[in-house]
Amino acid sequence: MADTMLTIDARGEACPIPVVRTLKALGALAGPGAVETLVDNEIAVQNLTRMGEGKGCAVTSERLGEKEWRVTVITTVALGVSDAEAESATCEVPAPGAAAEGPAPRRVVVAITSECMGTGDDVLGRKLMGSFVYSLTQLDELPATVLFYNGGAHLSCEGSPALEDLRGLAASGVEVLTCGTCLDHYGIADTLAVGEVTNMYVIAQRLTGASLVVRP
Amino acid sequence: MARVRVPSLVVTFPTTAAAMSCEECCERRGLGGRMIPVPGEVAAGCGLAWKTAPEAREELAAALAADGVPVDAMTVIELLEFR
Repeated sequence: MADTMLTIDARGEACPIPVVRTLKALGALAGPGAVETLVDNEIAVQNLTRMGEGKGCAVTSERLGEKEWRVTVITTVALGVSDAEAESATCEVPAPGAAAEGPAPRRVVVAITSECMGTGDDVLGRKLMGSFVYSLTQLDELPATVLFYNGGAHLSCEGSPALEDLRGLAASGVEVLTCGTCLDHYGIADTLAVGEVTNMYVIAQRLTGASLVVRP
Repeated sequence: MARVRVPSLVVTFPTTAAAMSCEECCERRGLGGRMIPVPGEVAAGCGLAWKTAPEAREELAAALAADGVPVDAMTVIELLEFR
């Protein structure tokens, strides 16, 4: 049973508004709970479901009438959702006719799996990885997501030389996610300094949902 | 958070080892700055550079000279920063 329940009536609102409002409500829960969103079209149901599952939440939906659905997103943990992240939410499933407006935007995901870029000299490799993260901040188009797993998890933790750049990216709407299993494995879970902890389901979703995966 | 173009002093070096020596020199002396890849506006090719505030030029140049760190060039260009 959910601890706290918030209800949003998003009927009559076009995507991404239902997703944006639901994301903000999930963040407002600040702990375990559920957000129940009423919508009037199936596209919104699909987008809310993808968003919820992408956040590692349990999602159920129920059709209440000819043009009425209830989507319930349940979280067992506090989700850190910034206003910038919520406002930048997009709909992965386009509304009918939206395809005619142009190609879908690129969704670039950067997967950082080590503190070092390349192999050979780890001292040089750390410098190169720091340079790579800095270079991300100089791109015209920022990546949608930066994932950290295995040894890469050290880069989003206290003491990392990449923190300043990563904080800037996160504050600019880039999703910064670090593997929780990896943080536990290395004993650095208490030192995560930027972004959010995530799990393998979300990592798999981000990687398979990307239009381009970059692994430096 | 917005990204804005900020004038920055970019120091380039003849070797990667010299760039790393600059980082050590600045850390030891408490001078600000950071390592970045050489921006394309400064030089073609691959390499590491030191980025700091333009007003730090004289102090940095003196420190690098004192430590015997060879420098290729010091250039002021605009780089994106989060503000």
